[in-house]
Amino acid sequence: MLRLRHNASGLVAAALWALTLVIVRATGQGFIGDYLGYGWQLVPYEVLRDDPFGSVWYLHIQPPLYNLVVGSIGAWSPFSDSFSFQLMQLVAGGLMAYFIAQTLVLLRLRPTVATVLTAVAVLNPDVVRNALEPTYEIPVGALLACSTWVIARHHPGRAGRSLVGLSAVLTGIVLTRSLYHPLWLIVLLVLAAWHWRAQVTKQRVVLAALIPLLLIGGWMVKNQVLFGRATLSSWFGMNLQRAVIPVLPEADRFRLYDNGEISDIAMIGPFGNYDLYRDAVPPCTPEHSHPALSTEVRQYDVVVPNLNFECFLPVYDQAGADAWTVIRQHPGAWWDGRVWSMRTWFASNRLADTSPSWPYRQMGNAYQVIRLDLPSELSTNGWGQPIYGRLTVPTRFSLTTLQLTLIVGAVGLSAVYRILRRRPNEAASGNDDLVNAFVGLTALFTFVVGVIGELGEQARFRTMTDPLVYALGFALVLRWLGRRFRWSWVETPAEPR
Amino acid sequence: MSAADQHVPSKSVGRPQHLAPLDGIRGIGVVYVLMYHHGTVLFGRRLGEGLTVSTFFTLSGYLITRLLVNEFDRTGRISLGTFYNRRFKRLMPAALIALLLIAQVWWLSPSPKGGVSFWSWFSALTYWQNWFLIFGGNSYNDLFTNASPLQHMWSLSIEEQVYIVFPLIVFGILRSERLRARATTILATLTAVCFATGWFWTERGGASRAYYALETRSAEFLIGAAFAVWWMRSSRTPGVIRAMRTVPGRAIGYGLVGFEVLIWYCIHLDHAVILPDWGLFPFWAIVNGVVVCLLAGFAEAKSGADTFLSWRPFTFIGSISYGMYLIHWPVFLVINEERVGLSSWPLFAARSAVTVAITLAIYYLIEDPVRRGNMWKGRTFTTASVMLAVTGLGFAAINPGDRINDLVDTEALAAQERMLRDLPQLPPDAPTRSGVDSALPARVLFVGDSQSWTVGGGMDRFWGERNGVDAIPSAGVGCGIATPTRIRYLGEEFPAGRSGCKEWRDALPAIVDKFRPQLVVIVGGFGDLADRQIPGVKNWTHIGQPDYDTWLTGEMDTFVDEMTAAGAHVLWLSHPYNSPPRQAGSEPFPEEDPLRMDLYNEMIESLATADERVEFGDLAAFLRARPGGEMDTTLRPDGAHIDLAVAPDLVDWLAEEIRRATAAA
Repeated sequence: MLRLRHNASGLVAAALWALTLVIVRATGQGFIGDYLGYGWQLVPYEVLRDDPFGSVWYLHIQPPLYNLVVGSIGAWSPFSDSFSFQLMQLVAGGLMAYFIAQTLVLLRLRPTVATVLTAVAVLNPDVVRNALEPTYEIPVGALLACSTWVIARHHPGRAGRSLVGLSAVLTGIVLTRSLYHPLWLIVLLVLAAWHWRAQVTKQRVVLAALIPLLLIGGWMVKNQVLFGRATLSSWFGMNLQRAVIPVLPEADRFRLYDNGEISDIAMIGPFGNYDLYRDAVPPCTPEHSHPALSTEVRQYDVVVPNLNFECFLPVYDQAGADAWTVIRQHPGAWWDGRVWSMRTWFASNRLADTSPSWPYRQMGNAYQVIRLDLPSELSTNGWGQPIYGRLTVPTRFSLTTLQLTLIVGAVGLSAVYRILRRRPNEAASGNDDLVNAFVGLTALFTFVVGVIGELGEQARFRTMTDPLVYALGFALVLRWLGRRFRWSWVETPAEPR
Repeated sequence: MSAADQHVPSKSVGRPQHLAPLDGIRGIGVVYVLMYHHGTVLFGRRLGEGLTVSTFFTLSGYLITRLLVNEFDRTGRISLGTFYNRRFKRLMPAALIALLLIAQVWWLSPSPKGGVSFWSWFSALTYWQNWFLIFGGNSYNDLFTNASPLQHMWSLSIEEQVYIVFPLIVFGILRSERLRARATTILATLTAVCFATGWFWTERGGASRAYYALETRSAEFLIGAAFAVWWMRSSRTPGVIRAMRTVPGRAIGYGLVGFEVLIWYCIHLDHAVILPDWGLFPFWAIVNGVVVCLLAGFAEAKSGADTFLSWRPFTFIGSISYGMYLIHWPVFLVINEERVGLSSWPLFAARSAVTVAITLAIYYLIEDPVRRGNMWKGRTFTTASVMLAVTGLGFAAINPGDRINDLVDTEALAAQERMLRDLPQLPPDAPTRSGVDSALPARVLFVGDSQSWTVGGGMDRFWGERNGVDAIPSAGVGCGIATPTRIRYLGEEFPAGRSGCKEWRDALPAIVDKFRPQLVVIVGGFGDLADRQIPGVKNWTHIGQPDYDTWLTGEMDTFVDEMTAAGAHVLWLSHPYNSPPRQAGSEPFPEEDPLRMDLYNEMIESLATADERVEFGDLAAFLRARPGGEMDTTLRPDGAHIDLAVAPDLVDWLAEEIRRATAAA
């Protein structure tokens, strides 16, 4: 059996990721750069590229980091956009693989086992698919993996540095992806501080608290000053409307509308061009002249709104108010949407099925077995205002993903319980519980928020946590089996450090 | 619970020996169950379903009683706590995991044939699935049509219900010296009563009622229990053992195994083959019970087919038979011909392999360690059980299976029911000709797909009233006239046919019967041009392929028979080319293929030529000859449906066609 050194595991995993991506691309699977043209989360790309910092300053729909990265690459990369963003995904995915593999080694899995499990986790076509577009799932996945690694490599000698490092990475995540609410950061930081409380100085705790306070707080203050909303992202209301109203029976929607309880915006549908909503809100002229805010429609081969257009702000507010009205009055419809979303969470992506790349298609076939994909369909039958049209599409759902999510979630919650009950002098022993708690809570948080505030894109959301859930989930199962059947090849007998 | 004051424990009584041959019987039995549930046909006949589970019941009754009596003999008491704890640890871990998996799989991939409702799942968890099936009106014959992945839990439910009550009965009998002396008689009497209820329910409530009822199926436990008590207490047992060990005795032992398998094969729930059809309850159930008891006796005597039944593969399968039974049915439903492209024995091998793999995993990882006390010790067992149960309940609560089917079916059913309800009750002497124009019928029924709705509705509005004709449409939207099957229609795949089509087809005879049309006009049938999987043909097929054409011709004949059942004549209109809306840039749907339309129209014309009840109306040719042609966007704004409001000439043409068909009737 191939034996790897402890520190080689991450490098081999990263190399496997890079090699796979290169092979998939070289054998015909295209990179889908169109996202730069229509990506809802982005300021119009030409504006972002021309003035990355200015555009991000005037950004309100999203936290700043991803737009900043995309804009900076567009502005200063010496390579073409396509190559630059492929390189970005290759590096981000490589880092993700590195951090996951090293985390598993730190959790005392043998390096070869850690590498194999990491490869299984990151080479899932559902995950690889995200590297074929300049979206933020892979970078966020890498940051999540980095957080786990920071926790796993902590030892008493590092004192508060781990806490500060963790705080910095978590802040980075919150400033990249609005799904990760500051509340998530607070819970995890407090849990880590509690776990390490015997080793962390007050100064380090203060420093760890200051990082998110200043950066996240600063961003919110900026939004308050510029837009009158102290939020990380302005479009939550519209997203909530998108999650709720499509499922509401048509008759109920019309009744609410006729009673004046919901506005025209609820009748139009979410995230359309501003023209659609113009008559539903008071007349609006952008207060700021920066093109990130004043451009209504972006230049693309179909008409795509610039959702950062300043006049969208009252639309988002009204959409949110409409959504809350519907939730209050028709909780059953809201719940039906959530059940639909929960199931969609476990849908597998089918890009590999039709890929021109033979290796990618074979990966797709192999992962149908690993993921225990069950054939079924997603249907919008019965929806009052289907946002994806009235359709029933054949889809596969992964039983493995469901089981691993349950396992990681359950182990994570029990780890939280143990951490909270542990006395200070016991807290120094190992980081397994904190790693399990971090991954479990993050997987559950991503699931819950993704299900509550979204309708239809759950499978994409999930791929941010898939690498961690698969790697840690399989590691937990394998470790349990190894201990039960005394398989010495699973774990190292002593601490690798 | 103790009866030490009444009974002197005998320290000379040892613990009962493990009876490997009975594991062997279980092993053979569970393989037989798998074969039956696979739908295996042997020697040209489907396997009987009546008695395998009955064998398990009798074996359980025998073994449980043997343990209880032995414990009483050794200790003078029966520890009910220990008994229930042991049963719980033996049965629950595997059951909880199996149920959780079922709830998850049917949530992710609900089957159109049958789903997991919350109450169905809850009844399986709490072991009253048999009552759920009885009061839900489920027939055992639904097993192969509207199968629930939990349906097989009925037998385990009965077993658990017996386990709750039975030790109390045994203890009650054993603790009283007077009753103890008559234990065999008491149990035999109870057995007889329960067998009688089986006969009663078969006569009064139907075979399924008898099959699922606790009071009936207890008989099979009790016969085993009565035999166990007799065997352990009777002074004749040594003599019987000696007889069993003789050469003729051994031969009888082998013969009994053969006879047992024969009655499994021959006895069905509601009939018998080869052997006399004297009914499952009570006759064959009693015979089976007696045979199983004798086999247990031979196992105790280490005689008969002892060596054969103790063959390691049989006993090994027998030792995991509980898990195999739990797992096999949902696995068989998931791994079907459509999904894996296998049939017959290869499919059986695939299903069995997956069943065994999952069973072994559960057995070695959970079931066995828990039973041996190596895992989930103490409070952990309760915690783990509660967590699994609560998680399963959560999945059962959000399971869309039944709910989705119900919604769709309810809508379709409601539409048909409304239509039937709104139709006026015709007097026997209702006119058969229009009161305005005697060349016209009084009642015309338009049937077909959505085209029949627009055309039929349009004719009534623009023509019917003033001509004294009552024209009504009954449309199965998106349905062909053929029986619904798996279909790819307008780019979507419908595993069990489009929603509502079955309901529409089923309701049509009642509508014809109540409305009593003189003329039925068939318009549409676009669904018959789509790719389908038809009975007896494994691959997707469509019109123009011999198998499909043969099948469709038969379906068309049947449809005409149904439409003319009340004496109507049929006017069947040809199908114009269709171009239904689709996403820009996407390929046309296969069913749009003009070649398919032409073939369909030729079939209609041939049918009309051959069947004097049918007239052919060439709607396609009429539309083609109109200014604007067949695909006139004014007439058919969506490329498919015809708007009669803009085509008075078409109304007139149809009126003439109706006159012609009426005259020909």
